[in-house]
Amino acid sequence: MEFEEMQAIWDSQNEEKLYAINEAALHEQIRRKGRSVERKVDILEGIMMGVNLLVAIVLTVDAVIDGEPLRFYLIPAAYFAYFIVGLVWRMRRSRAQVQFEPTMVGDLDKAIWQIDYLIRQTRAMLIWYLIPLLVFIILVLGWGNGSLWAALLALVVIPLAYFGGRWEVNKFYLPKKRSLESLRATLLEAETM
Amino acid sequence: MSADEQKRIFDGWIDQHKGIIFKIVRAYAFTPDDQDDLFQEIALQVWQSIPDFRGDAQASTWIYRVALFTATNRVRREKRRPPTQWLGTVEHMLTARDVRQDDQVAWLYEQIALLSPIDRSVCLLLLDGFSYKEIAALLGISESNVGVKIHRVKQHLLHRSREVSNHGV
Repeated sequence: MEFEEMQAIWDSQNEEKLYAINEAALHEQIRRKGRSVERKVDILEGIMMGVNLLVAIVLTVDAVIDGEPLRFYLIPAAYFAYFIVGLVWRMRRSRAQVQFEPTMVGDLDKAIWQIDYLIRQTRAMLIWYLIPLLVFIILVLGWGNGSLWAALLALVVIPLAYFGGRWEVNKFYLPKKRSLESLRATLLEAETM
Repeated sequence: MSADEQKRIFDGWIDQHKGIIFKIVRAYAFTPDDQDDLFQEIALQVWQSIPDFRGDAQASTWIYRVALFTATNRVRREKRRPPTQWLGTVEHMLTARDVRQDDQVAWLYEQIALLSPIDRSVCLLLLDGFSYKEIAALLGISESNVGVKIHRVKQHLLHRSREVSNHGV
């Protein structure tokens, strides 16, 4: 059989009659799951930024009311800095999203970029969020403020969150990124020939 | 874009271009449950892609791209993780109709299934009459790269066809 004959066989099929779509169930599924990954990331980022800003304001007001010394403004300042960093990241992400071509390579680049973004965000949170928080807790303990039990709990939870985050990156994000990169390499395999 | 407008476009696309999605579903998934899953995943991705559609390409080409990417990505994921077994009753979105399937078409799908996921995409586009230039534009690769892949796909199909003829099947 020659390729042209195969094409004629292919053209003769009528796939439209092969399946029936349950439209009501499909619409219900779309309604439940139709929110894109970008929108979910948008919402999560919004929540994180909102929490950081709220904590910064509450701690600042608290320190002002109690007439605390200047060192007690360090923690709210850090939370405000996290809020600003979140804002900058969000703006950079929105700009980068526009750059992907509407092709399969572009779709792969976008998927790889999204994974990279999650990896960067998780790693940054581990380094710039959890570690400073641990240091602040130790400092607050050193200044003789705060509950010892709450501090001990934080000293257990923060390292757990740190190693959990690293595990998440190594177990899920990095293998996914590598397999997407391998798919991209297969698609582009003959580009240099 | 309003949700109503998105729904109107989605319904129109599914109605007009469901044949494209069915072909891709059949080429990338082989059990009724897998086909149902893949159909749902493609439909969801098509829905989510609607706000990005600027009308630069034809809707059919856009749907083809979204569906091929979703199917290829699914095969990649399943290589790493075995498919999960459904527990309990699930409402199916796609039901196979009791239509007699052409043996030659079925044979063609079997041969396509033996190709790598990327070559499968190229093969489907080629069989559907896309030119080298159109395939290159849809995949985002050079025409010479498309040429290499098409040569490999054709060799595979012709080789398998000769094997069948030699064995008198």
